Amino acid sequence: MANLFNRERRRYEAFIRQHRPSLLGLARRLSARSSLEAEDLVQETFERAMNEFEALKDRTDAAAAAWLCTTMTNRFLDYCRRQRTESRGMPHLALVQEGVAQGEAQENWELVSTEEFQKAVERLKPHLRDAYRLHAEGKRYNAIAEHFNVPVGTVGSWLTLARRDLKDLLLPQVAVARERGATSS
Amino acid sequence: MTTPCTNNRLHLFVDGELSATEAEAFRQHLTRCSECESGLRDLLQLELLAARALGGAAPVAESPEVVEPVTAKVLPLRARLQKVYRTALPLAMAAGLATVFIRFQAPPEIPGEVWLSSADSRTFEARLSHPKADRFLPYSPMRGTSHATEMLPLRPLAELEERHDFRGIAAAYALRGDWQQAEAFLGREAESADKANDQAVVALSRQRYEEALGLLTSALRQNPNHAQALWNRALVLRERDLLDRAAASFDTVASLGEEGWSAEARRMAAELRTQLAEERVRWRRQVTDAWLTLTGDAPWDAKQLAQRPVVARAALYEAVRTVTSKEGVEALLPLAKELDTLGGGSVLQDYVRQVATRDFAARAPLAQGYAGLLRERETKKDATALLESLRRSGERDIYFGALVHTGSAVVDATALSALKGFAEGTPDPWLHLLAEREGIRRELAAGHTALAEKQLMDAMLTCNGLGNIVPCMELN
Ligand SMILES: [Zn+2]
Repeated sequence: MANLFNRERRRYEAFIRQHRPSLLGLARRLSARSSLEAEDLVQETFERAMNEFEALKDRTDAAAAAWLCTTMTNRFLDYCRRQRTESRGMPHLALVQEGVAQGEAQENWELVSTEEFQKAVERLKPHLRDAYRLHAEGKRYNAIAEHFNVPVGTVGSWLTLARRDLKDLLLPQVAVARERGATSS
Repeated sequence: MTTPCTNNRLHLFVDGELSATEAEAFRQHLTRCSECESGLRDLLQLELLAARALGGAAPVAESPEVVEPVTAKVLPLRARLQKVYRTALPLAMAAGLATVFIRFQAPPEIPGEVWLSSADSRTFEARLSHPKADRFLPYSPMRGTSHATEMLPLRPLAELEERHDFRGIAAAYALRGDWQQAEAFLGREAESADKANDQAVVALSRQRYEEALGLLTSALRQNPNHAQALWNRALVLRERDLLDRAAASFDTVASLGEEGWSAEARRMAAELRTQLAEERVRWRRQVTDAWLTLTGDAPWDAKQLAQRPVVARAALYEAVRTVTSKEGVEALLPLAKELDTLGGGSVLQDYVRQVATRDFAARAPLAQGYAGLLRERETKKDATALLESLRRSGERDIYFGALVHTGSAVVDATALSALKGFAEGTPDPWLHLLAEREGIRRELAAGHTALAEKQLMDAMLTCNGLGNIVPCMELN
């Protein structure tokens, strides 16, 4: 029915509005210095989301974001594979198919809320936390290096450490939450 | 020599800190190295979370233009257009419209093309106050974008500026999708209901719904029958999923008897009511099915049910209210835990545990009575009797459910304060919203429409902020 279609379309558009900016930011980083267009990567991702929307619309925001991220990563890896095989004149490898629940990385991350993430950032060592915040604001390594008056290489290792610590802080919580759910059922 | 797997290579790649050649080599490496691939998956999930939680822009090697987040398919054209306007028009503005203006003997006629008089469809749903820009045309969002390619004739604009018709200039820009210019010119217009309406259209186009509602309320305070403001208010309410209120606002537009718009408003109202009714039926059926699963004999999987957290949560409340034994309540704990994992905190588990300590000799008959209410087997008289025994019992959670279910709090002030009292005593945000909704329904029944709609918008905003774990649609 036309009206149902309209309503679903509005929901889908709202879904895009909500997730597109952060996804596009990520896509731009992946496609920098390559022939890949960030817009195309995001568009392909949302086309797949449209096929899965019936299931996606009822998931939490965190779960939907994790799904989009996995899907976009798959699209990006497809692109890398195609590049590689095209340069050797081979047919490209089979594409990965997404379902709504798949992938270990996704399963873990879809339980992390933005509040938990913010709390975890607070708990980082001060210099790692500040460097990570600057990075999240869009600062390049050299700008962060200048800010702290350290070599650029140091910024790289700080960010790597910050991300390792964030993962260590966040993923055990997820594991514990899963554990509690599993043992009592 | 560094191998691709070491030395933060992956992080440097994702952060755009590799040279073109290095990045190319790393992309090649990614396709062969499962360690880097899974590292990439985790890193991207983390970075997306950072973007969502900290809201910053991500670093990019080049600095591409910022593109408005609109539907992917519409985007390339719009982005291109915005670019055109950003470069072409401000130049003309800088030169000063007045200097472009050439004085005529008689005040010249403003050509209709300024407001796209030859268009055969509307490009956006909202209504502007300028009569030339408010002709009734069928709405067709996909075809409409082509109008925007038509450059704005500057001479008539200068004439409009001379006449201080800033609303007319703003309308011309708005019709071409240039909301920034429209907003700038509206700023120069004298205060009026029309101005507030047009500013609301700008806010609506930028998805600033609360601001839009505030402006429309102000327009309607100045002129309660402002057709465009009533229409636009319906759109704002609809965008916030307040379909019932949106339909009511379209009804008022329909009653004004404007050519074209009246019939369209009637159709929109009917459509929204059908949607809402269909959604309610679908929602009730989903919750009832999940409730029957939870209270039935067959085993169920908490994790699987929690895949639809909104339905599962609603069904969980009903199940806790209707099971008749301590064991029955405790069996619901896994689902409560699973849903708390998604929502954070432990509100649902605490609720389940607390109910498990009740005296089921007293609670069971009330639980059964409530189940009858859900199955709609009770007559109105039975419901009144049940509410009365619930009020006197200590089973306040069932009383809360029954009050919400029967809508008694809308007509009964004592019931409303009982409802609010219970909600305030729990940390569960959804129960707060439900109690608030009943209070708002009371305001509506008393005719305090503007206040009620503002509160509904706030409640919906709070609800959406919870991250799709509770049924915001129920706020209607
Ligand atoms: Zn590797």
